Amino acid sequence: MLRGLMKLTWIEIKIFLREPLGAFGTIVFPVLIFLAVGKFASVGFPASVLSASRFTQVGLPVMVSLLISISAVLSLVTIISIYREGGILKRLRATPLRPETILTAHVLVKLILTAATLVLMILAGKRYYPADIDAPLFSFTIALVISTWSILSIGFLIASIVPTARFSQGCFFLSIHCRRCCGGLRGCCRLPTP
Amino acid sequence: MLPTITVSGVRKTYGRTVAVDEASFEVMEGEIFGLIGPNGAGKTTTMECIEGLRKPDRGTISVLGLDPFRQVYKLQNRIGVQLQQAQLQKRIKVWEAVDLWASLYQKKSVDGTRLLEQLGLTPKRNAWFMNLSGGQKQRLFIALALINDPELVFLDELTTGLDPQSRRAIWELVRSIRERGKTVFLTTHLMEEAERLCDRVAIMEHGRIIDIDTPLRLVARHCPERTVVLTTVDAGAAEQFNKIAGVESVGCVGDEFTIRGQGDLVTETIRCLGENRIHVTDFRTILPNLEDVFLKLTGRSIRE
Repeated sequence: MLRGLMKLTWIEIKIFLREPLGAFGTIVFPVLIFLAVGKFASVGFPASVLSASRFTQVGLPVMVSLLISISAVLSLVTIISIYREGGILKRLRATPLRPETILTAHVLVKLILTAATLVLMILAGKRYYPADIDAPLFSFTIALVISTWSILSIGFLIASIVPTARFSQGCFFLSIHCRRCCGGLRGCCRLPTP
Repeated sequence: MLPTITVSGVRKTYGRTVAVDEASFEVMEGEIFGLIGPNGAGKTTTMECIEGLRKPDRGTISVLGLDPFRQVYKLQNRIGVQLQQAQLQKRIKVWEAVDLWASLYQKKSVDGTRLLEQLGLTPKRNAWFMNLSGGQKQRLFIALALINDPELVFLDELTTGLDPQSRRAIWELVRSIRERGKTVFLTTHLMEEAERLCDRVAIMEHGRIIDIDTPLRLVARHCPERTVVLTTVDAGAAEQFNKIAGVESVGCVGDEFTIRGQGDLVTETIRCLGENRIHVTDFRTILPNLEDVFLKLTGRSIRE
């Protein structure tokens, strides 16, 4: 079954990249947001001002990481709902492929894409916001991947019970904003005041 | 011949709706068996219970000696399935789908390139699924159902929505599957398809199997009537036609006679024409088909 898992994962990555808008929204858009908000937040600040640099060094990466995670899960929820609506999952179920293999393949795809976006964001950060801090890149990446994985489970739950892809997106956004507020995530994303 | 599929007393309900009601039948090795009936008769549910995709509420099913629900993965390695209204990922390429499906089975798959060639899909091997025509999609689904060289192939409403040319091409494909020694189990609501393809058919309505036999025997059993329509200006023809053995009625509109009866009516009518030197300008026979059998058994047309 490992052969099937690898093949399905690879094909799903290729299919995802063939959807220009989806690929842009998931991989490129968070990086663009990172650069644009970073530039906006730096207006009026000399490079050495602590609050501005703290925002670009700490708040902004966290905010964009959240965006990466949400994009990954949102696209997963949409894809699984569309696959279920269109009978693709049923077609796969009529093969010896086990449901857990199908879900694992989709989790792998999203984790790989999340990691890829994160790498792009780190490279963009190094290029445009050179920081002198010792950022714990490895542990931060692991934490992001694990949290993405955790949010994916909620995405799977939503995708498995709602009837349509459109409805699943609404449910997912509702749940993510509830959790964002309850988790106190608004604080770290607040822009600094000059 | 051994039974490949044995279905005994299967019942399946969705809430208060009884989809399959005490269905029992056997499918023999190497035959094309058709489950026919109108939309909503319970054909797909029955087929999905046999494939192991749905669990019947009661009754027993044996497929290739396996329990399709408890031994579903073992079974799925030995069968090929084409589902009604199934889709694939929009942007998956034809060759990718075949390659993916080949990787899902334990046993060695058939040569995908050759299979695509046999199904006339080689020019489309790099096309996305969403860009294929209805007939090409169905052929791809057949390719996916055959990629593991299955012993038993399930085809659910295979040619629905296809143009006559594509339909005939797919019928040829199904016959070629049987010629390779495979057993084919198909569902259809197209009577012509069942008559042309199936060795035996089971007629299903409201979840119940009404009758099972070869198409010819079903027609002979339930609709033995024959009709001959001919045109002649011979003044004494009506009197002679009434003397034909087995005639039940002779109707006449202008020069056109409609002779209804049973038994070997066609031969007897031709003999009558020859013996009495009756000159005809038009001659045709109207033979009953499975559609008429369905109408007789259920009191309604399959299209209603």
